[in-house]
Amino acid sequence: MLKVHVLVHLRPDIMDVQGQAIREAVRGAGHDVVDGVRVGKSFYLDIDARDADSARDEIEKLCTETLSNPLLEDYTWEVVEQ
Amino acid sequence: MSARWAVVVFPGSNCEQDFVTAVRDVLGREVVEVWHKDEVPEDVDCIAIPGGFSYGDYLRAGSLAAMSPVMQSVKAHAERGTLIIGVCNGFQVLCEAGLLPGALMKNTSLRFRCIDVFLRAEREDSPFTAGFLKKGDVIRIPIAHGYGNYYAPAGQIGAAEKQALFTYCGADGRVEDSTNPNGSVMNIAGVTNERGNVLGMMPHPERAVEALIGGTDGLNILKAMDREGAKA
Repeated sequence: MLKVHVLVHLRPDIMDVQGQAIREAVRGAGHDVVDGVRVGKSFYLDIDARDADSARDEIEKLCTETLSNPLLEDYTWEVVEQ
Repeated sequence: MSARWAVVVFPGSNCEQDFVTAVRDVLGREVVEVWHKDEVPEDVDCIAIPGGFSYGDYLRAGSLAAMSPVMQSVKAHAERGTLIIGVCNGFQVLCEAGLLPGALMKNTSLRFRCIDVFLRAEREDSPFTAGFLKKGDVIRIPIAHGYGNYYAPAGQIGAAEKQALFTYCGADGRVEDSTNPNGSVMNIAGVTNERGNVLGMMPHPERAVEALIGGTDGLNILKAMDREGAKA
C-alpha cells in the first residue's frame, strides 16, 4: 500500500481571493511578515499498488480528471509512505 | 406537439422544485424528476440541471455531480441536440462535465450575492432566447451564489466570448465592471456550447416565472426552450 500526498493550488496567474483575504486578516492581526498567502487543498490517498512507478499513470489521471480542474489549478504529488 | 421535460436531481440540489413548479404549473408541461443514479429518458426534449449544493459542494462546486451516473445520459442527450439548461450549481456541473467551456470560481468579493441582476442578450440565434430577445435586449433575473465567477483560460476565452449568451449589465444595457456581481470574465453570466443546445447560466430563470414574485423574464427563456425543444 502506498500513501500518496496530493497538493492542489490555483494556478499562479489566477487571483486567489481567499488567499488575499487571509493575507489582509493576518497582517491586520499584526503578522506584518506575511507578504502573500495562497490557499490550496491537500489529499492523502491510500493506493493499492507496490510502488510509485506502477501507480503513476493512475495517480496522474486522478489528479487531472478529478482532484484538480486543469483550467484553474496545478497539482503536485509525492509518495509519503511505502 | 409540446416538449417533454426532465429535471435532474442530485443529493444537495435545492432548486429542483422551483423548476418542476415552473414547468408543470406555470408552463403546463409534463416533467419528470430524474435521480442522479438513474438515466434521463430518451424521449425528453428539454433537460434542466438545477441549482443547489450537489454533493455538498465537496472538492469543487459541481465536480462530483459531473461524475455521477445520470450525466452519461445527459451527455448523450447533448450529442443528440436535446436542449439542456444548467442554472447556478447546474452551470457548474455542466462546466465540470466538459459540456461547456470554462469554470466557475469563488466570487471576487467572497460574498454570497443574492440580488436581482440585469442581463443583456449577446446573440439572437439561440433556442433559449428565440422569439423574445434580440441582441442587446435587457432582462431581469435573480442570482444567488457564492461561486459564480466565470473564468475561461487563454485556450477557451475565444469560445467563451463567441458563445456567451448573457452578460451582466445595468438597466440601460451597459456592460461595466460596476454591473459585474462576481468578477466573471467579460461579465459573462451565461454561455452555451459550440452547437448552442447546452446553456449554463448563474441567474435563476425558474425564479422569475410569475409577476407576483418579481417578473416573468425567466419564464420567457423556458417558453423559448419549450417551443424550440418540441420542434427538434
